[in-house]
Amino acid sequence: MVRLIGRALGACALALLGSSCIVLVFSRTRTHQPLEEARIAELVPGATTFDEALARCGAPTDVWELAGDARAIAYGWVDSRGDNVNLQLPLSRDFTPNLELEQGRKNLYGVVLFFDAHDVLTAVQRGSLLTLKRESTPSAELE
Amino acid sequence: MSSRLLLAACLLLAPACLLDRSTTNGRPDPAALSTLTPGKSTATDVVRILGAPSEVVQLGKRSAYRYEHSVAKRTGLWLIVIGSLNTDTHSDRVWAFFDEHGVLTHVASSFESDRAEFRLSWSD
Repeated sequence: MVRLIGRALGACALALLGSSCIVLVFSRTRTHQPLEEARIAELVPGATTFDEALARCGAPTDVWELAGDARAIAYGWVDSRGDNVNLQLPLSRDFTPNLELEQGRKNLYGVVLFFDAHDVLTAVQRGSLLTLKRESTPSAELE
Repeated sequence: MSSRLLLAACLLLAPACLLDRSTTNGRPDPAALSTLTPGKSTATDVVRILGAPSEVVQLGKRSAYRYEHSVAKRTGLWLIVIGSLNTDTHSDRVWAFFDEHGVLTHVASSFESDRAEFRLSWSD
């Protein structure tokens, strides 16, 4: 009986200690509403105007200028999952090393609509908004 | 065997929960948007009606103002060493586009902040 209580107390102590040091976290981050495929399918390069695109797709998440007085509007969303093992060692008041190992998939996705100087749609591209912005922005200054 | 049951009981009886809600910026007034008239309203009118924008973007000679109000809801559940953390963020966005003379040409709005929910990481 004493041995059983000892083992139980030991298990509880281990669990309580572990709760502040090692945590396996199943995390998920969802940001913005994905643009519906039906709305994207309605966009026709060479025909759809800037006004029509805004009316169909709503307010973009980002806007930037292109060369030749053209512009691009982007609709982005995030749905990422991550299974993280978070190890924290509270060694002192001011020093807490934190080792985070992450395995999972991250999904940063978006649709960018490119318009010419006359506000006619020239292209629709999908992918990472950051990459598409970097590739199409005339200046190298990106946040 | 009984110690394992006791340990399992400890794991089940000692959860910790987190509900957190954070907002960024004030919500743009949908009624105020209807008072803006493309081709007539100016950048000054837009700022007077909607306030200071969250961002100003230069588009060559043209420009655009962004107004964004976001709501983030975070839900967490911890069972000793296993946790679930979900962050759901949605926003209300308004973009006002201006020509080179500062006259409003287009207004686009999306109101989605009400879609932010408290939910666990595995829920759809």
